[in-house]
Amino acid sequence: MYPVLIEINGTPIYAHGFFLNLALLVCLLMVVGESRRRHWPKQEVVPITLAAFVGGMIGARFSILFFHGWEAAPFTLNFYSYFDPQIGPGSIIGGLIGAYLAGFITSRLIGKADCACDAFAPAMALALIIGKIGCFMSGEDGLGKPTDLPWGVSLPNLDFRVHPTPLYEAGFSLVWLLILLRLRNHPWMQNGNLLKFGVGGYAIFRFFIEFLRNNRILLWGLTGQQWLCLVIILAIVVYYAVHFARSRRMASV
Amino acid sequence: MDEPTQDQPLSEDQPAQETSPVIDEGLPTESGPASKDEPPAKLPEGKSQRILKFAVGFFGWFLVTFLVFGGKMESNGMEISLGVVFFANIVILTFLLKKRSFIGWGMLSAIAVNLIASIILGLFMNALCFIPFYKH
Repeated sequence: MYPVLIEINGTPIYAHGFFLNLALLVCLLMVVGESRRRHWPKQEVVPITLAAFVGGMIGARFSILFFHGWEAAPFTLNFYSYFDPQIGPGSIIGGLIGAYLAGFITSRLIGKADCACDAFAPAMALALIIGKIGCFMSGEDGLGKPTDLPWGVSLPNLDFRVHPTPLYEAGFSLVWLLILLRLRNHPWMQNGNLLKFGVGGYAIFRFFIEFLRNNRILLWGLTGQQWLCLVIILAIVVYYAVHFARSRRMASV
Repeated sequence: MDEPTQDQPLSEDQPAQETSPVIDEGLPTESGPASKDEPPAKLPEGKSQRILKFAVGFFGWFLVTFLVFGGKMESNGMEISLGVVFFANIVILTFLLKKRSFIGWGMLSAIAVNLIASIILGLFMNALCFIPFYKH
């Protein structure tokens, strides 16, 4: 593992922080590019992106309370600790939910009737690819469960190999990015559908990859992250079921 | 894409349209002729007013956070009560944004600037995603 990426005049630049910064920067650039391509006006893209960023950061940290229980309260309820650089940002699943909710609420607050949030879908997948490389290089959370597979990796202080789960996620995100880019102009994938498809796809993948990770079991053999993935998948299914039922009713009238 | 509606904020290069309280006689309107009892239409904020409100929200957040609450950054059990601050921030921010006030956007920007600063500082610290709770 390479937790320290480089040293500049004796000052270490950490891989996790470097790839997190790079992921957010590239994500922002892609959102700007996609917004221009979709002719999304700047008076909408700026407040929605700003709110999605803050909502994502708060969601990422706050979800830890759900995953780890009350012992995480000093880090999740203390608002000042959100600005403590020594504590990592938190969970990407919580971040996705927070960013989605904040972006949605803001788009309604600025009076936007339809949803142009599809610009975020490929950016999210691209950011995941970059961010997960940082997670792998820093050996975050012990990477994964023990394995005898040839691509298992060794960690310091461990005499067994483990699943490189961040690389699995980066690989999936790469494929997912290509699929989202391919589908972004499809008529069915407009008005928020691409983002729902993107988030839903990641949630399904993440649900299964969690079986190879070291996160804490919350209930019935599933981790908190898996429960949150189920909530996301269920919310999307319910949304489309209601939407489909409403469309059929309108068509029959 | 869409024409900016009355609900949407105007861009800087777009001149603020004056909502004329004068209604031409004889021309039918949606709301009908304005009576003398109705309050005058609210004029949109000028650019300087919006900047002032934004600055109040931005610097006001710093002032309240770091002066009134002492800017405590430590994370220990005694400070769980500061969860009140967390929820107060969320509630006040949502309220101000719902009121479409530029004070809310200033406050949101102040929080975003602090979060960005903490992420950039994370370059020089081994801040993994919640390593305090990782147990192999």
